[in-house]
Formats: sequence, C-alpha cells, structure tokens
Amino acid sequence: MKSKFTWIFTLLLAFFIQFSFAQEKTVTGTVVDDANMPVPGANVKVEGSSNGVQTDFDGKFSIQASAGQKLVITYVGMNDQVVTVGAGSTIPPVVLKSGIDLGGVVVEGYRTTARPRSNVAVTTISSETIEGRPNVSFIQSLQGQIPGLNISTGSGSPGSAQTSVILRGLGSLSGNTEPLYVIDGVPSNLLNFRTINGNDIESVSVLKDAGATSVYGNRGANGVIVVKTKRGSFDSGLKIRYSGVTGFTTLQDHHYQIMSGQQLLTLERLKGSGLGATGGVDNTPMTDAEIAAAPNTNWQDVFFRTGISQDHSLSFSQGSKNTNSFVSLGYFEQDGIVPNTDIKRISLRSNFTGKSSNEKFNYTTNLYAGYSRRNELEAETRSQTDPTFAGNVLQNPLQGMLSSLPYLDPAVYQNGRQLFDDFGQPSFGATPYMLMDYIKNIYNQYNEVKLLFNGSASYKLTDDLTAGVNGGIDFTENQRVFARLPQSYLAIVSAEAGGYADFPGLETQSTTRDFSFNGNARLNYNKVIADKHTIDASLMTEYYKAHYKANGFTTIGLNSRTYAPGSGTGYVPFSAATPNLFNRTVNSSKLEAGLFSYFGMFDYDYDSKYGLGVSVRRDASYRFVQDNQWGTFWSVSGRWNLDREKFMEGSTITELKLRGSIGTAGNQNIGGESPYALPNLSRALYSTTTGYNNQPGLVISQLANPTIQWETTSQANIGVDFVWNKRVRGTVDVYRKYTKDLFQGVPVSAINGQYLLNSNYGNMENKGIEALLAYDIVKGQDFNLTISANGSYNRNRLKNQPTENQFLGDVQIQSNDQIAFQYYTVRYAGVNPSNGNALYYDANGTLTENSVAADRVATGKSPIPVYQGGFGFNADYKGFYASAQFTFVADVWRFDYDLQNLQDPTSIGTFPQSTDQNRAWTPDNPNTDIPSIFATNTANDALSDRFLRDSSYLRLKYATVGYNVPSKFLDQTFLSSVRVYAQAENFLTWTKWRGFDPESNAASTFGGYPTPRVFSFGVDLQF
Amino acid sequence: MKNLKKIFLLTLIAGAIYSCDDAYEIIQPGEYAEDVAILTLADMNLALSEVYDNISGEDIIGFTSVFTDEAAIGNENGGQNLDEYRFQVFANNGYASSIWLDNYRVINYANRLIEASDNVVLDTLADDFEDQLQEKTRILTEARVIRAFSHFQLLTYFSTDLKNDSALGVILMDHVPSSPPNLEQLPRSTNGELFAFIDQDLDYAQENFSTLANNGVVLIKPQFILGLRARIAAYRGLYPEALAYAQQTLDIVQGNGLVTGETLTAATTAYRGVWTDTNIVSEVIFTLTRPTGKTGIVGNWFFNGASLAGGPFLDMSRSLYNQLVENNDVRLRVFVDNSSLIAEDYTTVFDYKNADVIVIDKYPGNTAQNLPLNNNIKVMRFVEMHFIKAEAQVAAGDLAGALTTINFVREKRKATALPAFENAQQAWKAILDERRMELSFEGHRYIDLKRLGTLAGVPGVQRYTRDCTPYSSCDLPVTDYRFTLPIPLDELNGNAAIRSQQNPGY
Repeated sequence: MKSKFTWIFTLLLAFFIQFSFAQEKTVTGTVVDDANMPVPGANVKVEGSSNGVQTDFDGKFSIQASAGQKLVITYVGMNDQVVTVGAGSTIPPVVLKSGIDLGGVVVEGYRTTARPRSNVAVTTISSETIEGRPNVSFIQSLQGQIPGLNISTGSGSPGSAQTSVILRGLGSLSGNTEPLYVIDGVPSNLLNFRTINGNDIESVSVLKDAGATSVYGNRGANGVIVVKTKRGSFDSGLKIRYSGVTGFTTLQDHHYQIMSGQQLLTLERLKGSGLGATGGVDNTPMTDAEIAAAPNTNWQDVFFRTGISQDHSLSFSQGSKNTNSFVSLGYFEQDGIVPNTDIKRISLRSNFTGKSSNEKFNYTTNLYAGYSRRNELEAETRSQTDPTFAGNVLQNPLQGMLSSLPYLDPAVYQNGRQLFDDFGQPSFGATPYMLMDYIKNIYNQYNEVKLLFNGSASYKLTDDLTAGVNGGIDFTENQRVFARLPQSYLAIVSAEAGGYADFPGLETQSTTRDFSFNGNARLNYNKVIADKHTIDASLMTEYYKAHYKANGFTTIGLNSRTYAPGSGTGYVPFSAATPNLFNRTVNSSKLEAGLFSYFGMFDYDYDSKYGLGVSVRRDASYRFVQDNQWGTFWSVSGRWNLDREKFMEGSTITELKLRGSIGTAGNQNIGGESPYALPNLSRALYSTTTGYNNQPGLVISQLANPTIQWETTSQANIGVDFVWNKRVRGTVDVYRKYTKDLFQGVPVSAINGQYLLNSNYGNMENKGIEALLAYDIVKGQDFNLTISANGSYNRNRLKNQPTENQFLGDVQIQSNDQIAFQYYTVRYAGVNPSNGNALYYDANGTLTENSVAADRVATGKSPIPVYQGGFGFNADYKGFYASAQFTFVADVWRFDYDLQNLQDPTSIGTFPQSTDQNRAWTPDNPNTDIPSIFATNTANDALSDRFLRDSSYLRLKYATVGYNVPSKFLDQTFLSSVRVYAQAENFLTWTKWRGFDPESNAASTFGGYPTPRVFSFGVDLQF
Repeated sequence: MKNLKKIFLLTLIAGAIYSCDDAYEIIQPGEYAEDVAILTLADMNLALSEVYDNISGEDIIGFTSVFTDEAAIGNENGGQNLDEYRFQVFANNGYASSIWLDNYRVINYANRLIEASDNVVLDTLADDFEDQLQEKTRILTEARVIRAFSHFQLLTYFSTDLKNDSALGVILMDHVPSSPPNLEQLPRSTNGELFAFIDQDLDYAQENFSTLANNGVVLIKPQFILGLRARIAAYRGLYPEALAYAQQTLDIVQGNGLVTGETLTAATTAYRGVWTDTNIVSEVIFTLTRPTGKTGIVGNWFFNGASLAGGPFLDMSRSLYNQLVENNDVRLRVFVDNSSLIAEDYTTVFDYKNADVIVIDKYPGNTAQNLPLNNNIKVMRFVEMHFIKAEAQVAAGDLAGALTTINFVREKRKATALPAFENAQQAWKAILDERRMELSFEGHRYIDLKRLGTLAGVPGVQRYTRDCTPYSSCDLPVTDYRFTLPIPLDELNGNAAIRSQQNPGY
C-alpha cells in the first residue's frame, strides 16, 4: 500500500506541472553584517522551495522569486533573516547579526557558538546528507564524511547493532570506545540507532578536540556526537512535507571464484576424496560423462535474495509568534538480503518550542516514540569469534553459500522431519540442507520500543544572566522471542537424542528494559563590554541515573499442534516423572548506574579576533570508590582570527582562523559501551551458584579492586579554518591523544584464582592529522559544481603495557610501542617448488615447512584502519542535481577465513573450493602461489599470515541524481516544492579483499552478513 | 513573570543543594559481600560444593590423550589439537595454562573456605555441639584433601622430577592471597617443601577419617586419601610406602575393588556400566559427577557425541587399538565404539584418515540422562592400586609377585595371563602396557611414560606411523623436556617472582 502511495504521487506530479505557469521575477539584494560589511557566501533561499543562491564577494545576490514569497538568508555563525519579496525587483540590504545565542551554528555541546568565535574542532553534517537514505541507522550515512570518524559496520542485517564508531583512533582497550551521543541536549545510552528516524535529524555535529569534549568530562573521552532534530520556526505557516523512498537491497559481489559442480567433482577425483572419487559405479571414481551430468547449483540463490526497502516520512511544521512545532510520522521497512531477515519501524516525533512575549522565558519539549520489529539470524547476536558457532558450518547460514557443495541439489531438502529421516544426525554431508532448514525454521524476532522525551527551559534573570534547566529520559524496551520451531531439523535432532521425540522444539523469551534520566541545571552570564569584550560564563550541574531490568525464560518441548511463537501455547508441561525433560529455566537481572557532575565554562572574546575558553569539571561515577570516585577534567582553548587583522585586508584568503586546545576527558564506561557493565569492581563479592553435582554452591565471584579509576584521555589539538577566494573552504587539524590508566585485564598470578584482574594499567597514544576541503569549481546561475574531500591519518601506539607481549587469542598481541590489537603471525613464504608443501619463515627468517607457534612475529598490522576518509562532488544544473560520495579506508587488515576454507586442500570432498586450486602446485607447475592439493602441512596456516588480507577499500558509498521541479511550475498547485531522485548505496567497491564486503568491525569473519547494495528512488514533496 | 524567576532560582538552588549521592553511591541489588558470605556450617557446605565443582579432570585427560599415543587425528579434524599432537608445546600452551589455573583456583577456593571457617563459631552449649563440630571437621577435612590433591596434580605436570625433593615444584599456597592493590607474587617451592605440606593436610585427614564415613564415591572417602598417598609415594619412587598405602586402600573394600563376572560375549557388562555411569560405585575410588549443565568430557575428542556421526576430531590411535586387539579382552569391547570404521588393510588403504576411524568409547556419554557429551571423571580407581602394588613388587625385585598382581587384573578383564617375566625391564614394560590399556584416556599416560618409560625400555611415545607421519610427529623420547609442562606464560606475566624459574627447554 505504502509503495503505491509513492507512485501515485509521482504520477500526479506530471499532471500538476502542466497547470503551472511562470510569475517569477529576478530579485536582487545585498547581505551585510552588523558592521555593514558585505557577507560573501551567505545562502539565500526562497522559503519552501529548493531555489537558492549564494551571495558574491560583495554580498550581492540575485534570485528568481515571486512577490509575497519569503527569502531566507543564512550564514554560518549569524542569525537567520527572513525578508518578504515585495513588488519591486530589489530588496533593501539584509543585515545579518552575528549571534552567540541559539541562532549560531557551531554546536559545542552544552551551547552553540558563532563559527568565527568557535575555538574547537567540530565537523557538522546537515540534514541533506542524512535524509532519504535507505540506511536503518543514520550513523551509516555519515561514513566517509567526517575526517577522523571511522564508521565500520560488521553486519548488513537490517537493524544490526554491529556498527563501530571510532573517533580519532581507539580510545580504550576494553572500555567503551564509542563517542557519546547527545540528542537534543540529552546524553543517550544508545548502542544503536535502529529505532531512530534519520529523517527527523536537522544536524549532526562531531566534537573532536578536548576544548569541545572536556565539558562532557565523564563521558567525553571518545568524542561527542551531538544530534539536533528538526524544529519549526516562529511566525511561519503550516508546512507539510512528504518524502518517500523505495528501493531494492542486493548482495555485493565477491571474488572467490567458487568452483562449479563439474570443476569440483574433477578436483575431488584428482584428490581421491569426496563424491568425485567415489560417486561412480561401485564406488569408483566418476567418469567424465558422470561428472558432466551432475547438478551445478548456485547456492547464492538459496541463501541470499533481493529485498525491498521503503521509507516514508510525513512532517508538519508551523509557528505562531510565540510557539512553533514540528511533528513527523515515519514508516521504514527493509528486507535483508538473507531470507527471513527484515526490519519494520514506525516513529513519531513532536518537537515544540515556546517563548514568553518578552522573550525572557523559553522552553522546548521533544518527544520521540519509535517501535521496530525485526527478524534476525541468531548469528547476529552470537560472536563471530565464538568457535562453537561462527566456524560451525552447520548452524551459520551466512556461510551457506560458501560451504555448500555445488553438485548438491537444493530440491533434496523438503522439511526438517524429512531431513532427519534421510540424513540422521548432523553431518557435513547435510550442510546446505541443514542451513536451508535453519533459515526457515529458527525463529528469532525482536520488538523494540524506544521513547525519548526531554524538555528544557531557560529564563533571562537579567539581560546578562540566564538560568536554565534541561532534562530528559531515554527508554528502550526490547523483547525477543527465539524458537527452534517444532518442525525444525535441529529441534527434531535434539528431541530424538533427548528422548522427547513427540515434542521437539524450544522457545526463549527475553525482555530488557533500559531507562535513564539525565538532567542539568545551569546559570549563564553573557556580557559585552565596550563593544569589544565578550564574556560568557556558565556554571552547571548534571545528574544521571539509569536503571536496567531484564528477565527471560527458556522452555523445552513444544506441541506442534498448538504452538505459535511467543504466544505461550504449546508449551509441554514439566513432569516430575521425567525430571530431565521439559525443563524450564528462568533468569532475571537488575542493575543501576549513575553519575553526578558540576562544572564551569568561561569564554572570552575580543572583537571576534581573539578568543579564550576554559572549562573545568568535577565528576563522580558510581563505579569508583574513595579517592577514585571523583575525577577532574579541564580544558583550555584559544583562537586567533587572522582574517580580522589589518595585514590580511584585501587578501584572497577571506577567512583564516588558528585554533588550539588542550585538555582532558574521562571514560568511566570501562566495561564497554554499556553503562551497567562491571558495576561494582571495587568490592569483593560472593555469589550463590549451581555447585557440585548441581547442588547449591557459594563462591567468590569477584575480587575487590578498590583502585579502579577513570580512564583519562588528554588531547592537544591545533587547527586551521580557512576560506580562500570564496571558492575553497577547508579545515586542517593535527592532534595527539594520550589515554592514561587504560582499563584492562592485568596479569596476576593464578594463586588468585584467575590470570587477569580488571585494573587500570598502561597508556595509549593516538596521533593524527585530518583535513576537510571543499572547492566550488563552478558557481553560477544555472550550473554549480562543488567537489569536496576529507581524510585522516591516525597512528596508534600502546605504551607502558603491563607485560611485554600480551596475547589475544592465537594471532593477535598487545605490545609496547606497537599498534593495538596487532596481528602476530608466522610469515607465509609461498609454495615449496620441490614438493608443493606450504613454506613459512621461522622466527629467524629461515624457510621451513613446519612452522611452530614460536615463529610468530609482530606484523605491524591491525584491524583498525590507519587512513580513512572520503571525497565526492555535488553538481546542479537548472534544477537537476547529482552528487556522489566515495569513502575509503586504508592500512586495515583482516583474516579471510572463508578464502582459507576455499583453498584448504583437506576440505576437498567436504566443502566447495575456489578455482584457485586449478593452479595448485603439481610437478609440472612448480612455481605457483597455491600449495599442492596433497600438501601435508597446510595446518600451519592457522598461525600464519597467509590469509591475513588487506581489506582497504575505496567505495562509491552513495550516489544520487535528482530533479527539483522549479517553483514556477508549482505555483498553481498545492505543492510548494517537488523533488524526485534516484540513489545508490554501496554501488561500487574497489578492493583487494575477495569476500563480499571488505568493511567490517571484526578482525575476521566466517561468512558474515555483507552490507547490502541498495538502489532506491525517492520523491520529496512540500505543501 | 516574577514567579517564573523565583521558580528558576529555586530550581537552581535545589539542584545545587540537593545531595545527589544516589547517583554515585550505588550498591547493586543482590550484592553479597565477602565478609558476610561464610558465617555458618550451611555456608561452609555451600562453599565446599564449589570447591568440588572446580576440580578439573577434563584438561589433563584431553592433553594426555593427544600429546602421547592414546589418540590420533580424527577424520573430522579441522585443526583441533594439532599443536599438541605435533608436540608443539610452548609457554603459552592452552592446556598448561588451564591445568595450572584450574588447580590454583581450587586451592584458592579451598583456602578461602578454610580461612573463613574461623568465622563460623559453634555454640558450645548447644545440644548438638558435637555433631556440629564433627560436621565442621568433615568440611575442613575434605577441603584440605582437595587442596593437597590439587598441589599434587600441579607437581605431576610442572615438576621436572618428582623423585628429587630438592627439584623445583610449584607455588605452595597455604593461604588466601591478599587483595589488590597488594597482590602477592610467590616463587616455586621445592618438591620437598610441597610434599611436607601435602603430608600435613593428608595427616589431618587421616586423623579425621571417621568424619568421612557417610561419603559416597562422588565425595572424598578415606580410601581416596590412602589411594592418593599410594599414588604420591609411587610417583616419588617411595615404593615400600606406596605398597603399604595401596594395600590399605584395597583392604578398605575388603577385596580388590574390581568388577567380576565379565564375559567376552555379553552385550552389557558391569565394566561397561562403569563408563556409561550406570554403575558408578564399582571400580571407582573417587569420581567427579558431571550432570547436566557441566563440562562434557566427550568434547575432548568429539564435536557432538561419541560415535562416528558425532564428529570425531580425534580418534583412538591405531597403536593403542592394535594393542587392545592383541589382548582381545573386555577392554577392546568397551573402549572402542561399534560405529568405528576399521580398515582391514589399514597399512595400505588409500584414504587412511577417513577409512580407518577408531571411535573412542571410553566416555560414551551419559545416555541414561540424555547427556551425550557428559560422563563422570574417574579421578582414581582401585585398579590403579593393583598397578602401584605391582610396581612396588618389581621395585623390590619380586617379579613373580608382580606377575601375579598383573595377571589378577588381566583375569578380571578376561585377558590371557602373561608368562613369567624374565627381567625387571620386562615387568616394568608389562605394567606400563597394562596401564596404557586399562587407564587409557584417564590422564595417566603422560606421567607414566615419564616415570616408567626408561625403566620399561620404551624410548618414547608409540604412535602408528600412518597416524603420525602426515604431522611429522612420530617420535618424542621419554626424556624430552616436554614431559614436563612449561610454567604458563600467563603465570609468568602476572608473577615476577617465578619468571626466572621456568622449566628447562621452554
């Protein structure tokens, strides 16, 4: 129904256009600042249309508009102005006042600042970049747009939470590394944004340096992302906007070159293993004719699909003299590219702003309610590194395409019962069929409710002194129903083995509720003295409290006749006569977290030429005790607006600002992203448990470490902002971040009952440079072309680690003065031309066929990219527009275990192979990169870097073409603006990585859920 | 508007004054502080339950089977245990690390219980004071025996030479280490110091034998304490003492402790029941239960269960199988699963790894309880006492006595009697071979090869050539340094005091 709606509108458009006729004229004017200096580069836009121009060097503009229309003039750092077009063709000079109040654009966290007067490193992305893109989470739309912000998505499952956002390098080893998200002034617990409607977002600002983040002292160490949602404006009529996007999601390409059924059977015959070697008459090798007649299945068609994606938003905004409101309704739906995965979301936002007639009292309320339902594979929530799962080809459908023999026929599978009757217990031979059953009959659905509510109010006590409060709640409820349906193969297998064959199946239901409150109160003093000295000082307190509740149960044994997922029907009751059958387990947990802070900020400006900012903050965390409970964080920042100096007058560099800041911020989420993890490490605790012989037990569950404390990140930053020749805009920042007292498991003697004790130990350094440049190549009446690029380099080093080399699993290590999470592997040397075995280097660099663990060496490579960035262009011509956004990451390494499986000679006969095996070593082909299919030592690959691959990539992340219907065509319709467009996400990728998707936040994957390629079409209408 | 002003001022003042302690002074619901955890006898019993629950046997058994010549690489192997099979053991070896940690964890829990018992004050005026005192003594006795046993397990794997009292042993841990930030770092003590400490605990236990009277085989009984002393003495080469303790252990059951009435034809036998856990009292001196929810020992060799279809990533070594076939007794029938693929032409068959899969069935899973991966861990069996006795007899030059002892066991297993030993080496070899079969997959072979290999003239691990050739791992002399495990890297990292005390070779 919804998609039909979209198309109906598109059709109507063509109709309306014919009825409209031109009544527009050319209007000219000048924009000046409060010192009566021209303002070049200001945006002039006809309200309610997409018709807009920029002022020239003299602040002049000319634009097509009709009498009675309103022109909105905006410029960064200045208050917006609205003027009405009269009968004439010129309008009086428009005076833009630079503002330090809410009209400013540089969001510095607790306040906003006019851009020329901002001392700090901030990058802001506006709504245009986010709207209408078919990403479940708006965060994904930011990828490659903000220098220094690395966004990597580990799963393309709709609504996946596996997105990592890291700003300016890793800030912690085992603690939280994600930035703090602040939505409309309220810090949020969000671990994902799947239930937030991205179309409601007005702007996203990324605060990077200490000058900006230190005032978020207790949570700001990894940077801060400030999200502002759309609001109405005062004195404006009702505006209705509809936007709809419909598209298709498809699988990205891979380059594994999987063998066809015939190729594989031939290889098996050669190897003497598998059907090719035994599938002939009387278990003899198959003949060429038999091989040619064998099936050839493309399992991609079974395990992946093309999905449909839709996004509809309807918003209303209006304002009277003293109030304004913005209300939006959203519906989003996306099918995953794996069958039986999808998300549906409905959302409502209502933002209200009001003020008293004397403008002394201001208040806002924001309400957001979102509800999403998604079906996910169980793999999504089970760790990729969990060997019992990720590598378990029998239970991970994401590997299905790469682990299913091409000469098997998918029609063999009918249902779970038939599969059990034909194949019995799980075995590799049943791999594809088990996975087909798994996708069909393992039920895993989540329902998530998200409520964000906040309000703020301020009152001007005097002209200079303002008091304000701001409070908000963030509530998330997540319900999961997981079931092995009674008809599923796995349920039948377990039931047959477990002695309850009549009632196979199990169901788990779980609910989590997460509630947090954040409130602050502030007193702000702002005074301009002698026209040149501006003082802005604030005192604030902040209070944060969060509550978590979870419970769930699992019941085994389902009656297939009455069972329906989540309904509670069909549960088989427990019977004392069969104590080991139909057991139910229940669980529950409850946690609290809290923070309290008071802090002050002081800013001084001299004539918009020099500025100084200072902040100091005292924070208490519930995690720490005694002397460690309170942390003090501070920052000092300054700037010099060189463009304001006499010697710069007349320069082609119209804006030039030098910024610098230094300061500290803290991280108390030492247990990861969750505010609840590791809540009481300072205390020794006992737990009641299930002890010996399943009798009750009592055990020490946690050693006390009263020394646990804040991780403190200090950061120094120097930046330059400039505009050259009105055409080139840019920002360059260099920084050094140094995190002290890293929270991690520090080795202790086993006499303590454990090898690692959670402690603060060691430091980590991130140094980097980042730049953002935009160049208006063509600026004209009809044609505009802007190119932009950004990039960053970050060098990560560990310092003062508790041990020289701390191993993380078998192939990663943490060492001093080396990059964090460095790979530590045996070096693969190629193929021994004399016998086809794999060759490795031992620790001394000598060739060996039998490498050992001691031959591993540090590689300098890690799964965290060193370089990242993006570039793109925007062009428009008479209402047509096109833009493209490329993103890249470089110097990032991951293990390609899928390739390893496809090149593993010991898997021949059991699993598919890559055609790479056709060039495997033979006596006639001694110089090759693929060991013999009879190689005896490929087990050594496990510790080697043979499959450690460069997953750098360059990707056309986003491309769009569209058309803004000129307003003259719309005058006589009820529409004020019409835009139609087509867009593509993840359209093209250049990479050496051979798998589906080089992008991931994990060091290795098995199969994995690639992020989809999405083609979509959209329409945007305003009434 | 005046009002608004006031409201604002009030709000601010309230915000500033209101004590916001509740935001950061948080005790989580259900926190159970250490100092009030163990206050009563009931608490002590609960804590003891957890001490027992942490005794591990799986790792020792798994490591021994793959590192020596009990297991071979199975047809479903996807890289599992290849390091150990190829003798690639370094300081970061996972088994070394877990054997070390598991035992120190048990010791830590036992010490916590022992120290906390001071807080459990009994009412001397209560009617049942004597019973309570007896109960408290019982708990402490069991805790101390477990502490002694764990120290000895550590010595078995980490001391270079158990027969040398001045050789380095392990860390002697007779107390609860102090809490952070004052973490303790302790060096290794000598074997002599450790044996003295173990003796103290076992002496205390022997004094309080009577308190253990009601314990079953899943708990510590007096015979385990005697049996442990026999094993310790044997490993130390103190054979007269070993003989005495072994005999005392057997005397307790007033017989031999072995099941009788075995036949070579019956489908189910009492001996089989020992391994399926349907007969948990026979043969066993001390066994650890592994009910639902606990670690499954079958997972040492199989992905899903003890059968060909259960994903054997390790199977029985051909050399052990050939030895079982040669003796052709009850053990062949019980230890090898029916689903095995036995290649008649195993010496020449083309795809040996897939064509000859000898499925280990010593741990068939607890089918009665639908637990395909779980079986009880047999920590000690009576049959070991017979072997210790035989060792002691050989050591004392009584070859005939040893032959009788060995043949007694063989007769119970329906094996043919061995002919008379011509010399001591032959006798040692017979004992080692018999132990290899009887105690296979029970975690003995590693220490047995180290202890008895040279005496028996067995040069090293005895793997079948087609098992081991693909992995270049056919030979490991019994004198190799790897017959002592490395002090784990994890311990060296956290304990500066031990860093200079790594075992030779690592």
